[in-house]
Amino acid sequence: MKTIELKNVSKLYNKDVCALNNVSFTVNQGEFVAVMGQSGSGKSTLLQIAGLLDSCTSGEVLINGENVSELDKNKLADIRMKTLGFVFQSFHLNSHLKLYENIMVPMLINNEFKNRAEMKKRAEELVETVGLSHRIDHYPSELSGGEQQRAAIARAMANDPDFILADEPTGNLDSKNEIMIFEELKKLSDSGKGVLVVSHNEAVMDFADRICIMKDGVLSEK
Amino acid sequence: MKLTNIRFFATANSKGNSKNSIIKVLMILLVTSVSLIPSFTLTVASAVNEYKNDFRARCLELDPWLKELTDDILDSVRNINHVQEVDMLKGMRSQLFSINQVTDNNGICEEWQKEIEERNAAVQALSLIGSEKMSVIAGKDLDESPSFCCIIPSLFYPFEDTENYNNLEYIDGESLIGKTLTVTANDGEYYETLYNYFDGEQGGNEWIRPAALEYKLKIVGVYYASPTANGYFDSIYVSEETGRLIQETELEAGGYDLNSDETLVEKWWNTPSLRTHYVIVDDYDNIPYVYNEISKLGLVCADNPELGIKESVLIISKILSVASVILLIAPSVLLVIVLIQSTVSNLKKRRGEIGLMKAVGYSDKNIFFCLCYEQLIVTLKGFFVGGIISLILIAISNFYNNHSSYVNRLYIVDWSGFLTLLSISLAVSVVIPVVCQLIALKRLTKIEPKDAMNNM
Repeated sequence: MKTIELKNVSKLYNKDVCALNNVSFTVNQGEFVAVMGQSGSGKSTLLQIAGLLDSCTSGEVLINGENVSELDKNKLADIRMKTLGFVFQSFHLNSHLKLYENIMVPMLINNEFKNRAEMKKRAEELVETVGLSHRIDHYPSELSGGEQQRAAIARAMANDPDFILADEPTGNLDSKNEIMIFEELKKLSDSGKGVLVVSHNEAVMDFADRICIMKDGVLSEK
Repeated sequence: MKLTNIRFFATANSKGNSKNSIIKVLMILLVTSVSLIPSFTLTVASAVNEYKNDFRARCLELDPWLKELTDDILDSVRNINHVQEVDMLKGMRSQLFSINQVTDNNGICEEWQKEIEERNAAVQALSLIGSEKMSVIAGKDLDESPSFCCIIPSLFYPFEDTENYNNLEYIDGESLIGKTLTVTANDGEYYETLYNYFDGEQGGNEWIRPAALEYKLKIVGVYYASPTANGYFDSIYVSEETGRLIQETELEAGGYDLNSDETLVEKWWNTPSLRTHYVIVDDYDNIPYVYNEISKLGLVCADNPELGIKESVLIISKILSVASVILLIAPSVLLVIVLIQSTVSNLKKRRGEIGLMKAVGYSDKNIFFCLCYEQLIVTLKGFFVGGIISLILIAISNFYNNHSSYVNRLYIVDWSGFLTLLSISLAVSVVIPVVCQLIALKRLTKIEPKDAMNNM
């Protein structure tokens, strides 16, 4: 079983601000886990550490059983490329690339793709998966917020990762699009991906298999 | 990350930077600055430096105005640092001869005869001095030829109608090799400065009136007349021996007895210490020093060679050099400032995007190469446009100068020099953006993957 596991992880900033306090947490393959909490509760920090975007002060982080806590940043980048996909609140689509080209961005550093034709084919498949085939040649500025976030989800799937980590994916969307995004993420977990969503949006509760609450750096399951 | 992928990514992003237009314009300016004016600078400097080595450019005229040039005095001059040799002028300094006829093996050249009769033709004849060797670019030089031969300039214009100075139809000197000029000394007189110390007093000047004899001078070769020099396109050279013979026969035919010392002219001819000499300096740049040292000896010496480098050319050469330096430094500095500013603001603006790239696995190296390539696309576009502009301007300039006055030939740019400068500007257009990215590298490495989580 593929997992992201945090064991007794703590994160201190400036030696006195405790963002995470001895947190143990697991996301399994095929699971949709939502972490909720107020601003400043430490949920984003949890996602950063689980996603290898930041290091922990103490504890262990294991990806698919491998302890990655002490690896250098190049190896961590490699693990992120192969194993993790990210969806952020701000979409971060490149305004100079078309939709399918944006989806190709993570593939450009993946040597498993022999040429751009292969990348484009994969991008087209992902675009179809998120229901944006009719917008494939459009630039991000021509897409709605919901469409951009769906494009970001497709991009997160570019290298066929085991896990998708989403930080407030509906933060910039209206309620109709929020549901659409959570539905897309649910589809991914149903297809066997592990999905970790950090959100203060209560709508996520209707889609998550597990809900965890962060408060003052401490995680508890609901 | 493969180069093709870097190119793909960078090509798209290169459109996005708002400062790209400024960078492109600065790049065009830089390329034209590096390749255009410096091409002229190099061309002029090269011609000047080449001519500086010329015998005539290092020749100072030494006259017995205040003192006779005795052997002791000449030895003192020879002992001055940087003096290569001192030679007596045995022939003509510069004597005007009318051309009466041009002949070849078949007789009179009819097309020439017509020109001479309609337009009047004359040449300035100079005789070689001492060890001087006037090298030829075609035909034979005077060392290999008997007496009464001459060499003419590669672009020859002996006619007196020089009103349209900027549009003379020069004659290709090579086409005249093998022909013979029949010439006569103009007016049969010239003015010579003589000093008579026989009675311990300073002497005076005398008109020498040699006979207007006719001479036949066979053209054996052609020399390159540098447009930097003060010479003219009607100057021909004869050997020292030919010059001496011409002077001798003229004086004798004019009634002087060169075996006696009765008249001033005869004494002057037979007394080496009363004759004009030339001081040959080892390097053009040492002329002021040698002049000062000779002056300290109480002698009268020219401070500049008669056929030295034109003052105007030296001034232009200096102006071009200064302009080249300014034009190289100013746009370069401006470009570096704009590029660094653009790079830094670009990184700030794209912090979230770069954070995302790092989040999905891009290394600092991958991102650095992408950003470099983005910048190179812009600077290289500027290089190509600037290069084409320079190329066209140089081509137009060369065409104009090639069909213009002889002096303007000085500004005909050598294409290999221009291409070298263009290559330098290409190197600059590659190096500067890379250096600017390297300067910003620290900022790049400080962007964290988690910066993608900031809501921008």
